[in-house]
Order: sequence, then C-alpha cells, then structure tokens
Amino acid sequence: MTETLLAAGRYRVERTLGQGGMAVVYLAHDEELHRLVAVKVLAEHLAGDANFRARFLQESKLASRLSHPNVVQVYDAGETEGSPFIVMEYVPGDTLAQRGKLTHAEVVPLALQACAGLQHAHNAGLVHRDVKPANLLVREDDVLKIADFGIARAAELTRLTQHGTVLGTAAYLAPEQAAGEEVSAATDIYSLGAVVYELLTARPPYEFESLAELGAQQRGGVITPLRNVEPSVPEPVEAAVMHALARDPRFRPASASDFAHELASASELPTKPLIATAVTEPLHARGYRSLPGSRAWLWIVGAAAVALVAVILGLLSIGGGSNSSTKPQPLPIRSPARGATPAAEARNLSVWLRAHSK
Amino acid sequence: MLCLAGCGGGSERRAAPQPSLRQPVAAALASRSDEVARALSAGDACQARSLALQLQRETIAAINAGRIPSAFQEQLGSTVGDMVSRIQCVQVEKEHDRGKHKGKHKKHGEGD
Repeated sequence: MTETLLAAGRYRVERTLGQGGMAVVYLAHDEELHRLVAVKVLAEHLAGDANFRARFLQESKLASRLSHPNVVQVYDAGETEGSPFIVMEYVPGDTLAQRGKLTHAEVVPLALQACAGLQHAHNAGLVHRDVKPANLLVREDDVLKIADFGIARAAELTRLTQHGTVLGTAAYLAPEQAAGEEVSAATDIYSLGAVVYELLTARPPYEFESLAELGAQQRGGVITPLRNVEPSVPEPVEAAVMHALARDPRFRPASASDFAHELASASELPTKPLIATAVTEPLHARGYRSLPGSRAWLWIVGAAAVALVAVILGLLSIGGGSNSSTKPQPLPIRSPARGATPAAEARNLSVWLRAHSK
Repeated sequence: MLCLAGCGGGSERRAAPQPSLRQPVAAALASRSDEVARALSAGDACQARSLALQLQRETIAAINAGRIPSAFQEQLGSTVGDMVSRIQCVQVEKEHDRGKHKGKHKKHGEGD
C-alpha cells in the first residue's frame, strides 16, 4: 500500500494501527464525512485469491447490517488497487488482549457488554466465530465493542493453513469449532467464556502447545475450575463461566443473553448498580458507568459533536469544495440535558423522546 | 469507485432529513420516564428505581429489536443508564441487618 488515499481519495490514510497475518488496519480520515475511521485492507497474499476476496467483501457487507453500541460499525467496503478493504468505526482505546489479568469486578461489566453485542448479532443470524481478546476493543470510556464480525468466516479456510495465526486464536475456539463441526451462537458463547476465564486467571482454559494437543484436551481433558486458579472469583461467577465452557454446546447457556443473565445475577458489585438488573435482555454499554465523573466524556463528546457540526455547517454555507455529490448527512443527535436531580433527568428524557418522535 | 456509485450528477445540496424515533416507541419510553419522575417527586425512590430499571430493560429491548435508530442509541442508552445509577433505593431492613452484622464482627474483635 503505497498510496495514502483510498477509494478515489475518499479516505486519507494517517497511520497504521495494526498489522496481522490477514490484513493491515489503518487510521484514516473520511474526507467526505470528516471523521476518523479504521480501514482494514486485506493483505496482498490473500487479495490475490479471487474467491477469498469475494467472500471477504460479502461477509463484510453482511456485518455492515449490524448496528449496536457494542459492535464495531462497518461503514463501507470496496476494493482499492485490487485489495479489498473495509471501512469501520474507529475505536480509540485498547483491546482486551492488552489489559492482562483483571478482577471479576472489572471483567463482568465488560463481559456483559460483549454478551449484548453478540446477542444482537445472533438475533441477526450472524455468528462471530472468532471471539478473542484482540477482537474485543475497549474504548477510553470503558465501552466494549466487538470487532471483525464476518471476517472470521471469510478467513476460515485460509487461516487453517496459517499455523501461527491459528495457535494465536485456538485457545478460544469451542470444541465443535476446533473439530471442524457446525458452529452456532453457542460457539461464540464458549469463546467469550474462554476470554473471561483468561482475563480472570491470566491463563486459557486449556494450555497446549499444538492444535493436536488442544483437540485432545478438549475431547477428554478437564478445565481447571476457575477458583482453583483464582480464588478471589465468587463462586457464582465461576459457575457462570464454567457453564459457558461446557464441552457440549447443548449444555451451555442457551443464548448470550442467558450468559449475561448468569453473570449479572452472580455478581455482587455495589459500585455497579446496573449489573444487578438481572439482565434478561442484552445490556447497553453505557449502563455500567456509574462512577463519579463518568459523565465527563459525554461533555467532551458533546463538545466535539458541536464542533463537528459547526465545521460541517461552515463548509456547507461556504459551499466549500467542488464535490457536490457528497451525500448530505443528518446532524448528530444531542443527548438529553442532564438534570440537576434524577427526577429532572427523567423529565428531560421524556421531553427529548417526544421531541424526536414523529 | 465510490463516486461512481454515489454521484447523481446534480449540484443541488439539500439538508438530510433528521432521523426520528417512531412515535409509539418514543411515547412508551417517555411515559415510563414520566413515571420515574413522578415516583421521585413523591419521595418513593425504590419505586422510582424499579421503574427506571424497567425503562432500561425496555430501552435495551427496543435497541436490540432495531426500533431505535442508531443515531439515538448512545444518547438514549447512556441517559437511561445514568439515571438508574443515580437513583438509590435504601432499604431500611437491609441497613438494620447490616448493623447487626457489624456488631457481630465487633465481638470477634474485627472492629469497623
């Protein structure tokens, strides 16, 4: 990738965010919508495979149907210089792979958000197939977003030939997936359970040095109970995680929502009141923010949104640019005003809802 | 490539229509929010919290059912979440029990 412009100049590459065996991810500026985006460009050695290229784009388009606060939004997909690319929401922050060992008080709220995103995808008929810490992005305000929906499916055949890649993700593969059998929503639930296990203990459910060894362990081995490795984890949390790690998909939680329900019910986290809401529906990301000062980001985001609106309005009024084909975009929606009291906040929300309805 | 797909050739620039919430969905959530406000005004924080949690569940369900346009999801979800976290239901019985518990600990010399 020698050019710094993609898609006929629409995306201006600013820097490389990451590079893996499959693709390179760039931070880019969307010149039309004036926002930062992440652009994933398929690696050259894969782009040469016409079938893979087509599948990559097809799966990306399926993933673009997802719209959920806990799923990285896919904005666009196309090809540039023969290499397919996907344009996604840019998530400033890090991944769970960079977080290391966490306490259950830290892990459960993140896992609940992952459950919410997975449930949304499962409702839409999509299975992620590659839930792992590196695909769970955590924004600076602790909102978790699942990345790479659809990519795994497209990559499935290819990555089996890439030993290093597989070993890097195999720790989170459900037994049926590792065995090449049919995958389902339960597959993602297992993988998330494995992620949670590792976050709590700093080791994967099975330790192995080869895929063959992993397969043998998954068929006949026993996962060390979570609390044997990390005794500080409450028993109900251990039970929920071990439930998700059941070898047989039929014995796992019936849905990501159910897994969330078990985790939420198991947690006694006084500083996170929303976790005690016994999630019967996937939870919304923001719901877990209850610490003092947690609204500060809203003001920052709000200010940034206002600034962005001002820039857009300025460009429109000046008639800036000759590209009259730019699709007009609606202005960002402002949040309801925060009341001085919860009662005022409730009234403000009511007014806001009615004002934005038709 | 994208231009080919997106160019219509015209130079007229119109403001994009603002997204909006469907009236029945917005009205239902607004009514629930009103109930929360009324309960708080009446001094019943526990009822208010229960209603706020219900509002949160309904909000989440609406988001996941695709009834809330994406432009509203973050704002709505965060506001409802914030509201729930601000409403504290202090249950007298639990406080009482906690007091007893503390007393027991003191007997064992663990202090406060």
